[in-house]
Amino acid sequence: MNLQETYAALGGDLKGTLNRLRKESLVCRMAKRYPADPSYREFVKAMELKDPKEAFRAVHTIKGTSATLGFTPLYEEASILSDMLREGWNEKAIEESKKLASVYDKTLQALEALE
Amino acid sequence: MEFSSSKKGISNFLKSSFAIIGVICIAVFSFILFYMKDQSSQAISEVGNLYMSAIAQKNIQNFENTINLRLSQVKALLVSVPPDHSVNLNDEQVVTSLTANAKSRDFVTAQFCLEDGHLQEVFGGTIDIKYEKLFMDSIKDNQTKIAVATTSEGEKVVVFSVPARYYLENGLQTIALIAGIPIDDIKETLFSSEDNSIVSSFLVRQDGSFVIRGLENEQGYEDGFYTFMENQTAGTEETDAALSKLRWAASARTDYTCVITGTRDTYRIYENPIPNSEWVLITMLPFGHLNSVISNLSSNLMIVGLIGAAVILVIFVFLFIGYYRLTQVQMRQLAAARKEAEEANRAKSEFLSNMSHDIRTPMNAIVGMTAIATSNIGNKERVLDCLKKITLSSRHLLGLINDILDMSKIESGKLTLNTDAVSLKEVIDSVVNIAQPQVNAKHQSFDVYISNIDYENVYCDSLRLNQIFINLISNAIKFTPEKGAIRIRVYEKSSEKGDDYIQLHFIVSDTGIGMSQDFVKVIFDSFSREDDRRVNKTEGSGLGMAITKYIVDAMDGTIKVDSVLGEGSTFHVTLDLKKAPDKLNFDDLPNWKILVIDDDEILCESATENLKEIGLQADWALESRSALEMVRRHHDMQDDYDVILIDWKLPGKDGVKTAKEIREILGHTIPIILITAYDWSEIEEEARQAGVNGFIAKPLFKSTLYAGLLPYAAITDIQKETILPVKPDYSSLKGKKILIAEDNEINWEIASELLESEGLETVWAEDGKQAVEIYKHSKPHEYAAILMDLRMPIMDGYEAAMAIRSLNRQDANIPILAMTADAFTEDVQKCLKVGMNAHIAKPINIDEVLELLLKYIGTD
Repeated sequence: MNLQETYAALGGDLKGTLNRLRKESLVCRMAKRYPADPSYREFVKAMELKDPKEAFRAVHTIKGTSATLGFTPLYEEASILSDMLREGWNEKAIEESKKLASVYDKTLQALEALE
Repeated sequence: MEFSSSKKGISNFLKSSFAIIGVICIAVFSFILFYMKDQSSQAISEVGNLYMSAIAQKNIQNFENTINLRLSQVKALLVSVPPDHSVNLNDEQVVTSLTANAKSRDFVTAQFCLEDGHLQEVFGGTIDIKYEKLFMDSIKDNQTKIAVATTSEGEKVVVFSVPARYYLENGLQTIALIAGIPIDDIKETLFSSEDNSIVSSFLVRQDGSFVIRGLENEQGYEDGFYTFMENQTAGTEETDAALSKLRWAASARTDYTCVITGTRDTYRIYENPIPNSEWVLITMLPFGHLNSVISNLSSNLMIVGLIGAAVILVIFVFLFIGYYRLTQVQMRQLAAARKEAEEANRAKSEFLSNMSHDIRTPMNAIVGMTAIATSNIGNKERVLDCLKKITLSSRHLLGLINDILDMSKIESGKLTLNTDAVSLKEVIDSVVNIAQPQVNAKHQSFDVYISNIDYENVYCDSLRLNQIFINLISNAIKFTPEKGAIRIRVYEKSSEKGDDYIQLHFIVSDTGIGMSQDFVKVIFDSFSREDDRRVNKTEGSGLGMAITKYIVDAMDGTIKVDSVLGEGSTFHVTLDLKKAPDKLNFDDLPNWKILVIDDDEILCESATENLKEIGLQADWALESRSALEMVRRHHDMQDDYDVILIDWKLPGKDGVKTAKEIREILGHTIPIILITAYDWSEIEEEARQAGVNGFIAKPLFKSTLYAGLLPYAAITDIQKETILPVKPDYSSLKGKKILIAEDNEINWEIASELLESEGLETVWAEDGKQAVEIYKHSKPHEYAAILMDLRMPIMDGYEAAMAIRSLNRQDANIPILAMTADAFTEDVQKCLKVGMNAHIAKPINIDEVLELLLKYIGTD
């Protein structure tokens, strides 16, 4: 898949991203590197440990990165979770994090197919 | 005046001819009536004469027949006793046979007349014959004779005598046999037919005494017929003469007829002598009945005739009135046509005198300026000025002459339309381009509103369409004072001519001097120009409107004027034009959301309408403040407008300043386009500096908008940075060193690559603590700024910022720009509170970052 197809598959906003970051090559490179980003794994771990502070920081990072790269569904889900966790532990977050997991999987699937 | 007198003359002629025809009609009718009456009365009196003479003839015939019958009966008596024999009257047999024979024939008496004139009775007793002597004389002459006699019983009888010679036993000789029948029998046979008729008949002796008469009950007959008649008449000469002639004719025993006018009636009288007697038969016929029949007839004839005449006269009067009215109408029309022709003539000559003045003025200017230029040939400036004035005058002159030529072409019917596919956009654009300099020169406001133009391509004569628009617009400019307003609206409606047509509406309104209602009526006439001091200063042939009207008419269109003196005029042209192919295709534009900023609500509405029809979303704002608010709101919602169209001339902040402020909010991510009805070359530089990407010229046709927007859609996002030429100059940032505190490697890499591509140098700190450490060990002013992520492990952005600010260094006030995915105001406030300079929301937007950096460090 090329960049456009990848973004279409993960529901991202390529146009906006290109507007902001200007260079297609940069976006492409960063998108390829995104699967290696540890934030999600850190978030999962923090959720397992029920560490709200660390979970919030991790999901907030996901939110920022996905926003910058224009992974809209991921950004939206991360926003919801970061709002939930901002003020401390929230049981609802466990349920919500499952949604994040599915969006994250979908995003990663698309990104791994990027050539 | 001449005209009204001839009108009077015609009506007089009509009236008198009507009178003459009426009189002739009555005269002819009367003549016919009287002639007919005369003729009919003549015919009737002739018929009367014929009828009466026939009656008289019949009477006489009847009478003669009766007499002859009786005479032959008497003669028959003689057959039984042959004459010249001796007859014994004492012989019972003879007498009995004679008597029986006579009685069987209704005779009541029979006598033999002796030679000596004595009568010898056969039966029936003695008789006394009236006028016996005359009778006897006739008998002695062997004549057959009739007379009246009275029997011994007093009965009146008519006696018939036939010669009969017998020898009586006493030696006497008879000469005639006389037999009598009662007078009433004769009367019956004679007058029986007269009972119910108007005819009366009399048997009269020569002296006038009656033998037998009808009408026995009538009075006044005692003294004989002539006396009776004299009593009946008035005794005039005429009647007396007629009566004496009658008397004479009777005695001469000839037929006679006459008309005698009596006091009671007029009579026709026939006189016929009766053979074998002294008598005449007089038949009298009164005219009374006939006359009344005739006069009835003629009065009926008269009435019918009069009615006929009246009917004809009435019809004639109606026809006359109708014709009279018709002529009146024709006269009025003639008068109107004449007046019109006179006025046209007057207008033409007035026009000629105006025109010669109008032509002379620029001509004089040309001649004069040429002379001045010649005498100042060395003075370049002066010559140039002269040439400029000469050019102006020549153009004006050319305009006048063109108008006159056009008009003469129109008046001679030579104007033809060259219909071809025309782009309304091109026509209106060119018209607006022509109008622009004039509008600018008079500092008038000039707006063109285009709405609902679905079909920009139509079949029309573009040159003539141009002419209509230019005439109307230049008129509006001409008659609107400085600082006035001229508005043009163009829209399409569905045409009554069918689906293949559109109805184009073109409305020009101005706030000019307006026109009087009287002038509005004649504005489209040739050679008219309002005769007013205000207008006399204005140049022009006065033909423009006439030409416009003519062209509009030739195109089957309409033109309407609405004008209030001193307030302005509105011209409204509608043309039904056939659609040309090539309906615009607007598929190439992405689904953009566009903001239109213009102080004119109508323009905003029509522009957004047009944009929606192209397939774009559009909002509008009337002034800069609310527009900025909208931009900000959408930006906060991360739902920025894709393109912003700004009118150049906005009240308060103009378009350029507004564009600049929008750029401050949005950076250089979207195109900002200036829409203007004016030439933008003077402001182009300034506008581009302020962040305007391009210009779209009004009027805003769909195709104008489409063509104006298309370049921004066609470019890929990658190319945008080069095509969107408006980009602040970041060159002052080159070589500056930026510390980026960011725990996420991807974010760091993106930020560093973006900044380095602009020539900046970046250093990465993986968390807040590291950042503080790096900064602490840096040379003074080594770093120009710090980009600080807020959420970091170990030490977050807030703490790091506070730590740096609290460092005892002269550059502890280094600009620190926060970066975060949170856009809560508390966060922003917290940033500022801990001493950071500004806040950048993620996602990272390189333009925003660069702009902020420029703002904080660019001016160093």
